[in-house]
Amino acid sequence: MAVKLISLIQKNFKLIIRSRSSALIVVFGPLLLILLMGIAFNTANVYGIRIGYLSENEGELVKSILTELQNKQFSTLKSGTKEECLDGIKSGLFHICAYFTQDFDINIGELIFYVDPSRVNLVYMIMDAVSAGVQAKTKEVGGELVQSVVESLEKTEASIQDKGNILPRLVDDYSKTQTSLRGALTDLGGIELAFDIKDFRLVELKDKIKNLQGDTTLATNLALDLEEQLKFFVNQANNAGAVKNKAYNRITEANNLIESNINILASLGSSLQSIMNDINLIKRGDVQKIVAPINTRVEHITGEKTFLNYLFPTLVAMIIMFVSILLASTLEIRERSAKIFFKNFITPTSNAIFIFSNYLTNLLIVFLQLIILFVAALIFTKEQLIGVLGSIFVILIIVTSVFILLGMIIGNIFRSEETNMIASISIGFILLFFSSAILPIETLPGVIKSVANFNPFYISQNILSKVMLFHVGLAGIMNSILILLGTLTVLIVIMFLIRKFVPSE
Amino acid sequence: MLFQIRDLEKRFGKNVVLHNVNLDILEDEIFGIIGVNGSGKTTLLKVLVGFYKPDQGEILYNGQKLSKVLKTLKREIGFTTQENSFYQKLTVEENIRYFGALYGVDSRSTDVNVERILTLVELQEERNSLAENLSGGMQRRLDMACSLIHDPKVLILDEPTEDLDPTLRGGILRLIKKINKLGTTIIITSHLLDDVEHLCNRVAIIHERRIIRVGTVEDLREMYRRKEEVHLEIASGNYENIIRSLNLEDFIIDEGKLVVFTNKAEEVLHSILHILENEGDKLIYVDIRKPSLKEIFEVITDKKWL
Repeated sequence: MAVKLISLIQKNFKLIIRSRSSALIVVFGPLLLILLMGIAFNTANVYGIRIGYLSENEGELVKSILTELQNKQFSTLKSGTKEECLDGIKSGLFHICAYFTQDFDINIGELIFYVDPSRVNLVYMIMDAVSAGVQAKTKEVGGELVQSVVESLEKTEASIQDKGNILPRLVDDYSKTQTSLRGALTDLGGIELAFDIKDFRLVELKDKIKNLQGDTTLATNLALDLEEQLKFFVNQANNAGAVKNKAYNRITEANNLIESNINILASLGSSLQSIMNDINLIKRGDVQKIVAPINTRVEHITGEKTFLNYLFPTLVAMIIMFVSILLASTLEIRERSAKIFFKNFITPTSNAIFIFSNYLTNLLIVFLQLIILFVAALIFTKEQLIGVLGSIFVILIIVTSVFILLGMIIGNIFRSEETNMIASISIGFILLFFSSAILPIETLPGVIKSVANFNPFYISQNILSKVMLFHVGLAGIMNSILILLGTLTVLIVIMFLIRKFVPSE
Repeated sequence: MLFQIRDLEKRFGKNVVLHNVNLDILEDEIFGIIGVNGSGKTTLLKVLVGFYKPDQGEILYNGQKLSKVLKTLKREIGFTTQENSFYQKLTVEENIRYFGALYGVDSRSTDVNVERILTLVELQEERNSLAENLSGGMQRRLDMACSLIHDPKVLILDEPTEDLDPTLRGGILRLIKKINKLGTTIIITSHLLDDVEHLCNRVAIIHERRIIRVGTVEDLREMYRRKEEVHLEIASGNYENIIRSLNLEDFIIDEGKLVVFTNKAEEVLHSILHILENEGDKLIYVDIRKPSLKEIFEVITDKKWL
């Protein structure tokens, strides 16, 4: 069996190598494709984008935005009318049309970008780059505006600071006044002005006078006078007490008012301090931060790389898919449609050996190309790939096997090279379309998305990305590998059934 | 009995290609199957080797059902198809060795067989030439060599002299005889009846999906005997004496030649030569024409050979 297998593989290789056209298409075609794609995607910059613009009032702001775009290596070209500008996109003269509204310079009006949505990838790329250019100018304009606001605040702060010293003084003065008032109140409180005529024991005095020997008239008169005087005094003292009470109440009121004012002043002081702190905070902040307080920045989780780095897993999956399907189906149909097929059939060699030899031939050729691809890739991205080469090897064998079997099935179903080629390319493109290579799979309708999740190209692209870019181990992608192995098993069964039941002639 | 075919029927969809075919093929013989294009010759051969399964009837190989001895049959049979079936981009030797590997011939036997077969088919000097660079005759011989690498008991040749010039055809026919003499049974199809006539021990005529006659060429000739023709031309150009002396009735004189239709050509010619000798006339041209296989075929099938 081994001798038959080796003999068949040797024969396949000799046929490919000795046929110049086959060798060119099968071996060098994909390598050329790899080289061209590598050159095409080995950059992260967007060069050579032409922007048509239309501005009815080309003021300073418009000019500065245009300068900003030119500085970012965009070519700008003025259009006479809006229609001319839009036609420019349709004819391919411009990639994008920028329309500055009439009042753009005066009121900072609208800047409208017209794009061709049919070139969806280009639009996103251009919009991203152009927006970045315009955004820089927007920030500059906003910065200027905020700068003037900040300056006004600074002046306000200085003024508050200047006048702010008065407040503590007022509080101090109020406090002193309050202290004085409190003293006065204490003093007033201490004055006792409540008298009673009985307190002077005038009745006792009169009795004593009556008991006096001698002439008591004078004494009686004196006592009466005294009584009169005392009555007057008591009356006066009672009046003074009433006045004192009134004064006391008024001073108490004044004291309470002063206390309230002191609290108000303290509150005013803390408010001013808070304003001062806020102003200080604003002052300490960058003007750019005020203009754009939330600075969004997209950081690459895999570090800064060229498009080729990001596309490399997809590129590898794409090369494997197309080369495997086309190569396997072509070899299969050539063998089947050749007269030799019958002669091979009548030899005592089983179907399985023919299938396995063709599979191994295809696998060796695809791996030859992948080795060249990876050797080239390792030169540029040694750190990225060297640690995961083992996992990559396992994945590549499984992925390549799936697509080779698919190609072999196609080659066994169709009867002419032309239909076989059309079928191979069509199936390749269907698989490509229902993956994330053109549009994200998440944007597809639910049912199609569910089916597309089992698309071997999508799975291959996904697991290669995970391993190459994020260094995920085989355990982390085991589910996907199992799906691919399941697919492979189904394809092997189909292949044997086709060989058994599909007529060869 | 090598092959016994009984009541064989083969259809492709609704199209009946072979119907009620009954045939025996003997060991060591050269068996010819003749028929017009599309009569079912190639299909019959492909059914014989198990490539197509019969829809009805049975085939016995060495007395056993074909389906049960298919593996044995594949080891014991060599098949050379109507069109060359080898790899054009492989050399003569690579092609032969490739088939040796597929037939499971061990490397030592392959080495011996390659030398022997290259000598047999006279391609020693071209052993390292790419097959595509060989002449038509050489390619036919290479095709046969590829079918002989495993020393088959039976060699099936489907139209082996098709598209070859007379010289190359002669070479191939000699080679087939040589192979047969080495003990290989040959089954050959052709519509070049002269080839079959001179090569085959027995012939089967296949016509409109069925075998209509089987036998040796002589048997067939006997069955469908018709008058032989004696063509002659004499120096005087006067055939009257001959006609009168032999009392000929069935004759024509065409472009100065006398054509006599008779069942006893040799006897008639002998008498004519005697008359000429007596008259002193000279014989310029003479030919006896017997009915060919082609003519027999035309009589049997009532169709002109295409």
